[in-house]
Amino acid sequence: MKKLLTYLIISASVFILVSCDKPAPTQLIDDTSDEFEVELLNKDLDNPYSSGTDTSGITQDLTGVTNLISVSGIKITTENRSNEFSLAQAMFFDKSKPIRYSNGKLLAYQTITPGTIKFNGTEAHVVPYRIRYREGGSPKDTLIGGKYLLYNITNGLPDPFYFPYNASVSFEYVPFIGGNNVSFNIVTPYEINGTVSLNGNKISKNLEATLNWNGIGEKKVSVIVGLVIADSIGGRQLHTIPIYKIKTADDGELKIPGRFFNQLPLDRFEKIVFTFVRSYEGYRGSGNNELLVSSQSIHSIILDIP
Amino acid sequence: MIALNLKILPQSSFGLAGYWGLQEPVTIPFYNYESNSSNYFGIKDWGIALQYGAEFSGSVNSSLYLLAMAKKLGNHSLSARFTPGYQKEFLFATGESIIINDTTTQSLEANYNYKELFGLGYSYRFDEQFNAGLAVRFFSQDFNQQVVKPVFGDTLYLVRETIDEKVNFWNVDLGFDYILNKNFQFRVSSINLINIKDDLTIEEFQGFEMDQKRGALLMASYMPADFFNFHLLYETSNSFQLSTTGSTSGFIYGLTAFHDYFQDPYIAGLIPAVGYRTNLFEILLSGVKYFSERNTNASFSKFYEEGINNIINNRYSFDKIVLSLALNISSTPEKKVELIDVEIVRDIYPTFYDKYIEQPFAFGKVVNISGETVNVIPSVKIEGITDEKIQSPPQTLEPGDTATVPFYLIIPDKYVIDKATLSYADFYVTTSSTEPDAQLQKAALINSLNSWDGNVANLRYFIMRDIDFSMNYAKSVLSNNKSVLDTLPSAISVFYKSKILFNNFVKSLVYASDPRATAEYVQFPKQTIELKGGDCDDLSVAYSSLLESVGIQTALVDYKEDGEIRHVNVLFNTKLIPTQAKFITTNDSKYFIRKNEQGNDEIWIPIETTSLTDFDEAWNVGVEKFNREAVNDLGLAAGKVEIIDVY
Repeated sequence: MKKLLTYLIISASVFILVSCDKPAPTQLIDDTSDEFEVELLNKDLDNPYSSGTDTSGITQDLTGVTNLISVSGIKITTENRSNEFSLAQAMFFDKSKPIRYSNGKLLAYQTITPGTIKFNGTEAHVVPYRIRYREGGSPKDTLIGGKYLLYNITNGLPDPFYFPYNASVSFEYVPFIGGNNVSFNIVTPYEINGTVSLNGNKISKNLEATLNWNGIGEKKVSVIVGLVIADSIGGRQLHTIPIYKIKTADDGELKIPGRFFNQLPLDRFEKIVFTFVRSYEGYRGSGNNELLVSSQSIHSIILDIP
Repeated sequence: MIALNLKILPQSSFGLAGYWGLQEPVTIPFYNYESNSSNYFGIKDWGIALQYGAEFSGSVNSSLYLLAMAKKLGNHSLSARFTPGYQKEFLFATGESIIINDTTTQSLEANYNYKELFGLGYSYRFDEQFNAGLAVRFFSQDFNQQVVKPVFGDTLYLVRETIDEKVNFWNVDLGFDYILNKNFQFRVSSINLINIKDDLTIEEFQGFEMDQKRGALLMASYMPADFFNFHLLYETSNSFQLSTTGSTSGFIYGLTAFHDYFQDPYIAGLIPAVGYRTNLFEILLSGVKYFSERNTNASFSKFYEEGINNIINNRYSFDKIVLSLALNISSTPEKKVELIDVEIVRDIYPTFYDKYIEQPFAFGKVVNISGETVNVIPSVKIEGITDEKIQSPPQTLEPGDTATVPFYLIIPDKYVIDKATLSYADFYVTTSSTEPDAQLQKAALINSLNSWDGNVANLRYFIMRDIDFSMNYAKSVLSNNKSVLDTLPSAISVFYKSKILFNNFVKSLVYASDPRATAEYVQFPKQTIELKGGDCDDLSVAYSSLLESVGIQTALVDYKEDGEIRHVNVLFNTKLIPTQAKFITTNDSKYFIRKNEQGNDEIWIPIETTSLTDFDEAWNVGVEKFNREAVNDLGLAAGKVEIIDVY
């Protein structure tokens, strides 16, 4: 009897063991703001795309944009010195006139300047709009038309446009021929101020970065990581190749793991730049009149690659 | 993702069958190391257990929670358990995502699995009150996470890669049990006393490891009756369990309520249990019912903030139903009685072959140490006397009772050792199994074949032992006197047969005392005749044997004279009634009247067997002594003279 019961319980155990499920897992729903969205901005480091706004450190892929209104408060920190700029831009793209790389890939569209534009009552200049890029390893640029621009490098020079944080900028458009005037206020974000701490070095391939900024807990911020190379065009001008665009919660802290740096050919680059962007973006209108309105607080920090 | 500070703790005291204290009859809860770090087991030899259950998490998931084995080796207990069902898995989005092809966003996910794989236990029972032991458990943590990884070749691109790491650790806890008495028991044990673990190397998993926060368990049980027991278990994490358990007629039941510091409400749930047990097996059906709503989805921020403190009992656990089975197997029979002592009350005289069938030669003190009524069968085997165990009648003992059991003995006819021997007797007491529960050995003096205890009544054994010889001898003598006997009236046939036998018997005999410095020594009739002499008991035995062998009823007269050597002679039944006395004598003082079984008077004649002249002389001497001491001196009335019938 005892033997029979023993064999039964052992047999039952084996059967149960091989026929069992495992306990149900618990799915944790992410209700935190701790996100980390990564976008690769340039796959070909020898032929990177740039819209030419080097000094702003900002780069956008504008091929999907019809019309862009952008106002930015910009701070660039390098070697512990910071310079602040205000920038207001407007571009109107003619989608019927694409401009392509030599390999046929779309580079941009030609721009048009159909009227006058004022930001906070100051009329923007029309300036040549050149796009700098690298093709076949060589720096190139091309003129794709004109764009509207106000920029204030220092003390209202050359243009008396001052980007107000956590306020608004008025926008006015008056067409030269036909059409309606357009005016609206562009709401501006709080100023963003960041710091970057680099650990490790490129030789050991253990570089990683810890970023901190004055998080306000609203929406998200973008951090653009770029590599800086000397550009022969225009003299010794630093040319930034944006690599990653990371969107994360505006909680004031981001750690970029080493794997994002250590695969890159850092020895080919002189510096690394981290650009904090707190932006408000929205669309107005539709079709050919669709406007992407963007106001941004930008803080770029340029560091030597250890 | 930034390193988190999660409180994920391995097991504390929760058990799927509830908490049952240190009740030895119920063994299933002992396999719960979480509250039994002292590895206390109430098994006798081997124990096997399994727990199989289902949890209700929207769908029903069944699991083998536990498969275990235990072994008792004297005061040591060993156990091992395999716990495939002790695991908890969490799936979540890491918060990382990749934008690919400029439009599509792919979220990355993680899978963290916490398991307790197996455990080992050891304990030592110092005495009935104190037990100490330890439990060693092995945990495994499997971390799997998708991450974004840039890859730079001809171009730069992002790939989704899975990183994983398995981090194992050992956990050792000690426990101590104190059983004050059958009503009160106490236990104290550690939580996470010693942890030996692998190092976590991947930074992404930092903070998700199990916390090995040290603590302690304190347990107390109050058990006033089998049907009602009360238990309290307190953890230094401010969690506790309250339970009540009981048993009746084999049925066992329990209800445990638990408060978990990290779960809501205050009493987080109940563990009801009901089952049945015998000495061989236990079956227990239990359930875990939580008092808060349970979902397969949960908030990551809540998890990040609180963590979990127990793999199988946490805010993410589900209601369960569990079936537990246990077998208690003894390779050696269970001992139910103990033989404390044996006293040999009677010396062994091998000639007294059937005396020890009616009168025990030894008594044993037996106690029932089981919890049930048992039938105790005493038996004995004496080296040199018995080939097999001689069983005595069974005796019933209630649980806990002590009784004195008799040991009877049969001396085989073939025993012929003619000198005293010091042997040993093995006394056994057996209950239900074929193997004895207990045994004891005692030295036993086996007297020689001719030894006699001085009790005249026991001379009958010597009379009857050589009855065949006596019969042949007597018949031979009577046959030689056939011509005389055939002429006699039948009424006096017995008388004359007795006379002829005596006269022939004493022809060549002389009186000889027993050897000096010996116990009482009695010769068998054959020896007396062959040795041609003996003392009064030898001669009385021989003469009585001769008469008995031809059907003449005899009795021995025991003259118990204080301070002097006792004396024995013979009375025989002439079968004459008083009115026939004149056929043998006209002197009515020469015979003695006794009633037979029918109440009729018969004439008995005393014969002094040491008067080795002739029958008449022996009759005269016998009568004279009998009349003086038994009759005139009122010896019979006073008990100084006793007539002992041979049969």
